[in-house]
Amino acid sequence: MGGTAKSRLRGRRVAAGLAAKGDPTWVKWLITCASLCFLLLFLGVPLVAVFTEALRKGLGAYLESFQNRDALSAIRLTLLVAAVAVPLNLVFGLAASWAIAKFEFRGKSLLVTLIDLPFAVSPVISGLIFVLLFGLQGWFGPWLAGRGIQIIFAVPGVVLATVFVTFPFVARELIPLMQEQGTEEEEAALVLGASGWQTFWRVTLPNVKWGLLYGVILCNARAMGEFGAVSVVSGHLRGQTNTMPLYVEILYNEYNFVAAFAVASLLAMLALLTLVLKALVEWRTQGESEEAFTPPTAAAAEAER
Amino acid sequence: MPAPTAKTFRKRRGVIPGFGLTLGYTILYLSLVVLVPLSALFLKTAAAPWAHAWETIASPRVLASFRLSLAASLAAAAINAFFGLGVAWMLVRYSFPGKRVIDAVVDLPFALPTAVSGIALTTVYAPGGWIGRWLEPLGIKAAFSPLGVTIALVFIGLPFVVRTLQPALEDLDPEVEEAAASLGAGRWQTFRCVILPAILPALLTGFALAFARALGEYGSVVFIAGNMPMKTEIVPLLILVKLEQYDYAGATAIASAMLVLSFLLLFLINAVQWWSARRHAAEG
Amino acid sequence: MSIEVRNVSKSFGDFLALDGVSLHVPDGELVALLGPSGSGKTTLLRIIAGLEAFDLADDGAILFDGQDVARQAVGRRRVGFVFQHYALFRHMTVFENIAFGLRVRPKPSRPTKAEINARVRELLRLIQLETLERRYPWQLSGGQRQRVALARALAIQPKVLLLDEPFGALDAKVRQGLRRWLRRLHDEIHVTSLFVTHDQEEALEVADRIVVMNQGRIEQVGTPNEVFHQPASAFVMDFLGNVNLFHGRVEAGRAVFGSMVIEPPGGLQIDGESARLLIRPHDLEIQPDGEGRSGLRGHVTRVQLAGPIVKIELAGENNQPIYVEMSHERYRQHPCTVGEKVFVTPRDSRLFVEDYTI
Repeated sequence: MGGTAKSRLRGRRVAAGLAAKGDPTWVKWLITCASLCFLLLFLGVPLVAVFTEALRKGLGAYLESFQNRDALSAIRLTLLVAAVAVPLNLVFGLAASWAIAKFEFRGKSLLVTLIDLPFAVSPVISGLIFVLLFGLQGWFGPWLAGRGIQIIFAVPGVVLATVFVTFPFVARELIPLMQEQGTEEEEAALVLGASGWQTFWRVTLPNVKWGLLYGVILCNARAMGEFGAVSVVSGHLRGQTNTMPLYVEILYNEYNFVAAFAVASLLAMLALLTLVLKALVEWRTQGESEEAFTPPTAAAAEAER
Repeated sequence: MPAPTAKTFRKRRGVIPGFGLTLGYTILYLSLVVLVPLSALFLKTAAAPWAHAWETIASPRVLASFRLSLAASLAAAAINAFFGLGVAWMLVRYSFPGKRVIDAVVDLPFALPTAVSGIALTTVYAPGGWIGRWLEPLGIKAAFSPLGVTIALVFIGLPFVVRTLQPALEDLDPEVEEAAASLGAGRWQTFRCVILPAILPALLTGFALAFARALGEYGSVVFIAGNMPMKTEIVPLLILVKLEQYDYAGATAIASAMLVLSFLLLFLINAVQWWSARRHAAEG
Repeated sequence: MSIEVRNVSKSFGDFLALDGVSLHVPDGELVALLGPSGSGKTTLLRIIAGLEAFDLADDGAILFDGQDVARQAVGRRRVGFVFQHYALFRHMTVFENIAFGLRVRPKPSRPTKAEINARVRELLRLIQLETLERRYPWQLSGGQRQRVALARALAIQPKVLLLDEPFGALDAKVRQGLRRWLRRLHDEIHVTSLFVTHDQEEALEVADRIVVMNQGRIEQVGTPNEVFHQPASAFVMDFLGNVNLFHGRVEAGRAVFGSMVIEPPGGLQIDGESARLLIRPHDLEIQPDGEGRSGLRGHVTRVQLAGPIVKIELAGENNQPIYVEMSHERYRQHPCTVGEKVFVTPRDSRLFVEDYTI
């Protein structure tokens, strides 16, 4: 089996070589250099700047940035928001992809478009709509205020806005994946006597686990990093409704650059971790789909006879 | 055998369970989290006096912000379409050490919180910053100018172009290029007449996605823009400004105008994809 | 366990996939559902398994051993179903795949771990894959996957075994071997089995009984011998092997096909009707001269000697192609060459006049 895989790889490399040979060397160099410079100027330098600025006054000052109540409460709130938003959208993603991928019904493509809607909405507007609903001048504002419940300029508003902006991530990853896998394995499980839950837990979920993880990673990154929507609904109350990105803004506007970049560096590390996990998951799923397409091996063919 | 009438039939569902439960939950959750809040925006706009809404949108400051947002977003999307094609081409066609890392880093703008990219870009492109200090002697003011807004929008739009182009470039059949070459076409002719038309839908989609995202972007722009009225204010910022002035109707009016714009773009993107899918199907 | 289907219909939108189908499969038989794609055979199989929604007329039913299962959930019918593309659980090993049906049983009726192990091992022996129990589906060849799918279906000790195009996705050589193996396996375990195929050779070789389907209806049910030699309709005859088809007319009680006249015993009472004559290639005889007998004139356009039989192509009247097959022995007695004018007479034929079959 190793032989087949290796020869397939070699075949691909030769093909890539041929295609690359199509471009003259100077074109190749030009495109590569221009692209790398572009990436460096727009992505590389800013990323490095985050860490350099954070450590400008040494490790001591860097660590000190986290040693106060406001910083800790911002970190705590960010974790709390993600802990609520991600599971909610995870459950939704599973339900939506099950309904959309395993059944035929009218209005399906409309439903898929509607699920993507939050991506088309500016983050600021995503915050605004909740102000319009629950703010003091909003639809439910007076009713809620009469009962002493505060949503806008409080933690629930931050959570709601985050749930909205991270709404499509999991569903979006799962829907195409489940559609591609079809329904045969589920049918097989049901014929063999499995219940609906058993089919879901033992057959469907293991089959989509990498896509699910991928969606959760992206959803989590956005939930922890969301800025625009949250800044509309939070009211910027220090130690109460500040998430890490909002806290970064406050520190930056106070010219407390080291602290601002120190907190930002935590978020940047989260982003890098997300990228690494994403690359790992992609590598995993690619490996699996390649396995699926591997032709029957010589040994297997032998055993056939 | 006479055809049995509908009355004599008992309909039976398919075997996979959970349709009602999952679809019901999907629609309920979608309505609660997305549809009801969004419709609140439109109902509020419709309920507000039209004169005020129009006054808000037509005021010079708001119009200036729309001009800036549209121009900077268009410029950024165009820059991304050009360089994004280069990056995608490089990632698909060439092999070099560290390619996997570069490929992963392209997603950085997706993963990096916008506030972080905002302050980082500002620091780098500000007059004394790593790149800003080289631009200053040339008379180029990068940060706190429309150029700064464009730079931030280039940053956040890049992955959209690269990630839509990559699969399109991978799907290209090398035989078609070889056929073009065997018919005597030069490399540039092959690119212009064979490759470019094939990836055009993806390029357009990427451009439109980057443009749409740029229009609504807030976090990475507010720091580098400088937010000078009439000069470097973007539309999302004005919504926030109106909110801080407790001008809810004004904020709503601007937001509705923007939302209509985004939906138009979304529709356009879907149309392009539908068109290219149809073209694809006709070819295949 | 016998299967009985009574008056079952199924439509997908405007398309009528099954049109009031009734069918009886006796206990212990291996039956083939044979038909072209779109004939409704897979739909019927899935309905029997309980995988497909369907329309059941008032007098309709699906009975296993006389018991109505139409309202029973798919998991409780105890059917073994082998999917066309196997539908093996891709994240489970061969062993886990086969054990699945036992492991998901509700606690009270679930076998112990040791019992499950023993049962799976026994099935692995049956499908001759004992050494591959730790492999994943993607590490198996098509034929091995097929056998694992079968073992998985058998693990729950099904009352009936249903197979959807069991050899459809395999290449010709593996198909041959698996077919015989399935036949032997059935002789060993004797579970009532129903399999879908579009390959007439497969049906003729493997099945005890063949159900020929076309456009949502059953055309004929019979042993391989019956459907091949006494086809109930032109469709069945055409579908089961090559045929030469001639169009003609009934005149004065005889069916006339150009210079070939068929005179059925007792004659035909329906003058002027159009008639179709179907003749298998091996039922045609080639002679140098007609000598006044009823037959067709033509000239040889191709002679293929390679292979177990001799295949000859002729151009008949109006250049209609005619295919003739004969043994090498017979060919040596009457050799012919390309371009030679010959006379063809049917040794056996089937005449279809509208709905009548003679």
